[in-house]
Amino acid sequence: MKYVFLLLTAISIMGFPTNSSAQGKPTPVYFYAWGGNPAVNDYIRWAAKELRPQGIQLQHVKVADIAEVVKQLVDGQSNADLIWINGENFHALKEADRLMSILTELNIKDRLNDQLSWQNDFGEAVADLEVPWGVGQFYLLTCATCFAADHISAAELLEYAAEHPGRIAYPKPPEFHGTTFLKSLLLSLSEQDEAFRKPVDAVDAEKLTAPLWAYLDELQPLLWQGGENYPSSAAQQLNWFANKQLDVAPSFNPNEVKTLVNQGRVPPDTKRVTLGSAAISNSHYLAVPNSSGHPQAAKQVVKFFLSEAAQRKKADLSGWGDPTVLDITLPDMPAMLPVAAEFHVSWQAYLEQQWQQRYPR
Amino acid sequence: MATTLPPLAMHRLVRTAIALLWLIIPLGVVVWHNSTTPFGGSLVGALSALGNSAWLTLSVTLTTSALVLLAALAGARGRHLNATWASFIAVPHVAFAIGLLWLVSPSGWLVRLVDGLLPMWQGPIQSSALSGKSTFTLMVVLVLKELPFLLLMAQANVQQMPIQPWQQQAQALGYSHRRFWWLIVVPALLKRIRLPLYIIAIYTVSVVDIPLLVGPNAPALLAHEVYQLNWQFTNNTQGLVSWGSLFLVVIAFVSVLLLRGLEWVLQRWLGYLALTGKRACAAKSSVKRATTPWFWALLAMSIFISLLLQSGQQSWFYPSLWPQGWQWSRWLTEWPYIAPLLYNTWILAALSATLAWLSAIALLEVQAQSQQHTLNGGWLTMLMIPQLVLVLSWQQTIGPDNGFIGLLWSHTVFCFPYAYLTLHGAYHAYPRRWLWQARSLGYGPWAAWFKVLVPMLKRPLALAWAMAFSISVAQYLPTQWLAPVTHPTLTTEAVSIASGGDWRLGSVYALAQWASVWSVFMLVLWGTRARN
Repeated sequence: MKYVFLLLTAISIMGFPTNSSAQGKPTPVYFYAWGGNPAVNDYIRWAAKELRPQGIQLQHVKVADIAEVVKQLVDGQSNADLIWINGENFHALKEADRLMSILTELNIKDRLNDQLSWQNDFGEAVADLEVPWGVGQFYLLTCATCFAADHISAAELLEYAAEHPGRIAYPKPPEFHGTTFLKSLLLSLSEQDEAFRKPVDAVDAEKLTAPLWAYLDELQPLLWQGGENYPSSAAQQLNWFANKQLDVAPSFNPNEVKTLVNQGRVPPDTKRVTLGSAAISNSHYLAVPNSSGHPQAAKQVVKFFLSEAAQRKKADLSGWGDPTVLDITLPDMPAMLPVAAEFHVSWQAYLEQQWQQRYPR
Repeated sequence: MATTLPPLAMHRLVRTAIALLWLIIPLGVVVWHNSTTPFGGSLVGALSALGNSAWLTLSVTLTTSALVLLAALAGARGRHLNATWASFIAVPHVAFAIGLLWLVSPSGWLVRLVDGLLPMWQGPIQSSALSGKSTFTLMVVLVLKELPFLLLMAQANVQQMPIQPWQQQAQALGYSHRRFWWLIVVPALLKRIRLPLYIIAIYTVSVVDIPLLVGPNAPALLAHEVYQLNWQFTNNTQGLVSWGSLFLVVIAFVSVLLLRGLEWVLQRWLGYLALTGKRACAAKSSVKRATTPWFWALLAMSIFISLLLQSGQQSWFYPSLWPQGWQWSRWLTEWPYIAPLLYNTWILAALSATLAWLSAIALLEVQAQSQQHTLNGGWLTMLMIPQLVLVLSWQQTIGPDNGFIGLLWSHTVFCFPYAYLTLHGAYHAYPRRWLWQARSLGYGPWAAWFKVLVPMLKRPLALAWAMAFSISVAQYLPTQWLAPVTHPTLTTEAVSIASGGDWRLGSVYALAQWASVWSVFMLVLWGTRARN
């Protein structure tokens, strides 16, 4: 009798696969990610194809700004299984306790490149809640003849702007390229970075940022349209740069100087220049929300994205070209830029608010 | 139509059902949501943060609407809806903005042409009123995009006016054609296109996608600002979003009041001119023939060509007049991803257009039977409230991706007023004695309606459906906020791709979107053409 019972149990378990299995209907994974970059979209399409045999249907839900979903998650109104985030968005989700602990469970820590200091996301401990996916470094794309050196100080930028009024611009904060532009200027002007890694309340922010506002007061009238309007996004600025309306465009992907040329988005003679002596660097991450309806499959997707094959493909310069987070060497990659540590997340809102109070009328 | 139930009860039933479905329930959700959500922050704080945006929005709205009104009044003389116009109305807004900028921006095609012809002249224009982002650019885009809609509405109304007898009288009194138009037709027309004008004004108050692309951002328009604030996490922004939504409603209301005032002033002024003005000697030939609207044809054509070239180019930098490399294979590689989106878009648009259209017909029939011929603005309520405010409340109440029904409902709520508005004029101008005659010859009420009214009104009926279809295709906010996962459409994809600024891929999606609406308009026009 006991054996019959066991047998029946075994049959029923085999007969009713509870979650993602290769048989039957594939498990959907709703991956909310920015949809503005065709190269990234193509990469996710490739991943979806690769994941099909594992019984997973990876569905890229393209958003114009991932903050939409973060807001919905905080409000408890989202069906996202997997999200692509960092910085402020991570901070908000962590604070609202909306993310699942996944990093340890996935057992990939020892394969990650620890030199990237991915353990902190904008000064906020990752705390097992997200997995690094790629690397961002802030610099400016510029024309071959615009700047001689491969890095320029804030003062040199001002000099250039005075000689070429209307040729410099930056996206309007809180767009993150715009805010990072301000941070880079701040680093270059204050020549120290310790204080910026602390929360804004822990230091004398007003005194620390005073040189930035004095500097911007001078720069502002020399900007594109005399600072009356700003590019809304890095993408918009990139288009104007490509068509010679501007001399610089911000980028957060150190390889983009190659990939954008390959894609025909910018002229072939485009080069990169860091603002300040080093590039503000951070990582971007994958996270699984608590509310995910398919957490197992979502973790499987994360695992796939962190596999060597997927990371190599992601770094491929004919596609996305996003640097790997794994401790592996890839041939033919442009060198990484010198690293400047990212600010503590609290500076983001502080700089944005201070900037907003001063500039757009 | 109604014979089984007493007509009055039947009428009431139809009205109530339509009002509940497309007005009261959707609005009730909004009211309930907003009355249960705490209102953070102070009015003073909100005014100091959003005041500039609010003023800018009000002035842009009034300027744009007034320009569109005057241009429509001037341009509505004697043309009929033809293929060119329909093609133009079908252009997606964002695609239109991209195409237009490609022509006129400081590094655009026209500047490249000048650059090519004048070799000594260096580089793109540094600053211009039509730069990539400015209030002026925004207004140009809005005026050009909105004008055809108002022209269409104005012409539909002119066709119902007894123009011929008026004109004979005016001619006998010595009015020139121009004076006849402005002093006699326009005052009557102004009143009739009041509601479409208000719809344009409120659309301008609440539009988000075009200002994001070409509008100013220091300060930005209010809807643009609220849209972006909604995704911020700092404590005081939620209060600002609530206040911003309230300001949007107030601005919408104030704009309508001021436009009503403008109408009053125009009426007075034209009336004064009519009483005191000189009369010209005998006017020349009277009725204007239907002519091809060259301006619109050229504009639509240039935008189409620019999108097509963009969709096939590999690289095309200033100052090249022609793409430097081609990549037409983009169409082939994208097709497997576009096809399901096309299917989603069409299914949703066809269903919501049909629901909206049937409701509009039922309502118009009931109104016609009870002799109410004036356009009842109450039915357009949903177009009179900024869309952002509505959709935000729905999303926060029912949550994202709660099934197809919610999405279909939200689309129909916006399609219905347009179907009603588009069909209203023709339906009420229909001489109902034909129906009585059919009844007297022994046809039942349904048979009379189907066999007599429908064939005579087939074009307006079909156009109303096509209009509702095009409205559904263009919806971004309802789709993106209510069903981004289960039902992405061409429009939601197009907007997220546009956020990355790669117009080559963006143009592929814009063209697919345009083609969807265009083909429906063409089918309607072709299928209902007059047969002689």
